Amino acid sequence: MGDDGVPPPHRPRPGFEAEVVSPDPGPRTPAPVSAGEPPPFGASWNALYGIVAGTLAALIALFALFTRAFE
Amino acid sequence: MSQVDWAVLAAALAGMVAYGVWKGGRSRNTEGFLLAGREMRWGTVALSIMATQASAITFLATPGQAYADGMRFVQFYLGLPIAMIVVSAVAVPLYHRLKVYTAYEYLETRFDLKTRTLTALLFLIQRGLAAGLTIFAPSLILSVILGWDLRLTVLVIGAAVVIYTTSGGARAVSRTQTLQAAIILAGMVAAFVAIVALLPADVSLFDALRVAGKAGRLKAIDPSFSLTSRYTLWSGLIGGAFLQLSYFGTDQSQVQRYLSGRSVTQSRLGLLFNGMAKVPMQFGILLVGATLFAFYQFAAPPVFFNSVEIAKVRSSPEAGRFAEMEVRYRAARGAQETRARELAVAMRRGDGREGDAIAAYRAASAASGDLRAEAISLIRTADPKADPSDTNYVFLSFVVHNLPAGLVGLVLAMVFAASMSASSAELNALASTTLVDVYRRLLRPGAGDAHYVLVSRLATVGWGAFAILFAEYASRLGSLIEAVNILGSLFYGTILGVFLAGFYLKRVSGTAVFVAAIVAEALVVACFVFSGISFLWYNVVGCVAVLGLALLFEALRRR
Repeated sequence: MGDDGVPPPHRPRPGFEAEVVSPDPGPRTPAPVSAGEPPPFGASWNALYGIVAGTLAALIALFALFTRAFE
Repeated sequence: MSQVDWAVLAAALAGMVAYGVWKGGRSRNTEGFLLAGREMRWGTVALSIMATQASAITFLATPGQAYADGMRFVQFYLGLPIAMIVVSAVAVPLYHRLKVYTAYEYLETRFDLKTRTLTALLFLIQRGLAAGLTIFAPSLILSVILGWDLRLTVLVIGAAVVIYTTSGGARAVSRTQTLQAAIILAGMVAAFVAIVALLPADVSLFDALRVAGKAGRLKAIDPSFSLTSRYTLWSGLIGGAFLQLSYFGTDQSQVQRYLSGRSVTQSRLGLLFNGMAKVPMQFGILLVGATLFAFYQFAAPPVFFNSVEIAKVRSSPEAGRFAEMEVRYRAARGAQETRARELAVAMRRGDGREGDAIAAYRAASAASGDLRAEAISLIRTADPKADPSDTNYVFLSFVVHNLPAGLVGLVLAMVFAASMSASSAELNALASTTLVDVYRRLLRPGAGDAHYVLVSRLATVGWGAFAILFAEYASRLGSLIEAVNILGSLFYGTILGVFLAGFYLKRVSGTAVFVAAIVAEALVVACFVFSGISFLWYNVVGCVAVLGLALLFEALRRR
């Protein structure tokens, strides 16, 4: 551990290796990452991602209309 | 520039430095200096992310891009919301969980030291050069438009950034970026309002935009598919998504911004807010440029916006021919202005005479365009090294010659704020990678935290000096915003491929990825040198090449 509570970079982090190292002596693979805590608004993170994707689709449609209107 | 403008600019500049030093405090450990103690809320994270990506080049060159080429550049950003979703879902929880300081630390955990070091070095090369461009680009434009000394301008911007970034680290960078974002917003809104207010009394904003539309400047979406056309819907969605994914997922200057969030939720919300706000923001900046184009359909612009090149040709043997050309150009622009007014009236009436008015306007526009091309040819005869593009000077030239006292100072403060916000984040990220991935990992592991903070500060000063020196000697670059994006695209695809291999190719080893990354980077450089493929596709080429070659090399290795 360094003074800042950060482990030295050479050593795997406590608790990390046991979770993520595969029994295969080859490359180490991180374990699947959980979605974590729910968002402060919206039903779920997937719903928030859907809103962002929907906004993009709406913007593209608006830009296409804008292009057509002033062509 | 009036004394009021100088006062506004000086107050803004001093205020930003003082605010950064004050808010940054005195970080005593590496987590505080490099990641602001991981305590930022999502609003600060979002503004910091946006301010880091939007440098002065964004606010100077983008309106000029719309003026010269229309609004299709907005398609460049269409992949960004997709990238925000992927980074939020995949990279943010992973980085938070591993408690990394830099994105490259993850690669050693997943692969090996050489893969981590290779990507860290690619980042240091690319971002170190980009930091120089971030300071150089606005300095060049300010020096040309206002006659300021280029080296002194570079030095002032660079030194101001180094002072508060060295003093307060990531906290100073993030806190100052909120103030800088407010200055930038005020400057752009003021400029847009001024352009609209300066339109002739009998021409509304809608009239002016319709004329700009007939000149092809309001084409925001191009649904055609072409590998060589620079900005289309598909290159933006596909190539742009790869570029933004690499930038936000693996570029330490952005990773550091959202790693300063106090939780996965705060980091994600910051990124998703950026995903929703960035595209409309860029559209707004481009609209300023398109409106500026519309303004100049009813008022004569200079034949060339780079006044330094104009001065050169006027003092050359071509001066006589150039003066004659200017007279003819002014006459042609007068005719074009008349045709533009007739077109605006015809479109307002909608009485079926629009077709003739459009044809007459386009003919007049083509005639003045031909004369401008001849003028540029004369400029290049007088000075063969002259840059034939004046895109970067359009916006600031308008500001300096048309805005009232006080507003000029505000817009110049905006330029400084944007340049400082982007370059401070770059210096902070360069210092982080230098410390964490090179110094602490390779040169001196196990030293005390106070020592590492000192090295981080020295690295900030060192990279600041490098950026200033590079900026001092940077040469002509064409459209500056494109130069920065092309430079990024040369490296981002490869780096993204390495990270995606880490995330998704479970059985690929570090050696296979390392060799694949070197070959892929050579392939991208070959595309840049030998092919006409548009730069956004380099990101796809680099990424797909790393993934494909890594699988191939791993299969060969296992045999």
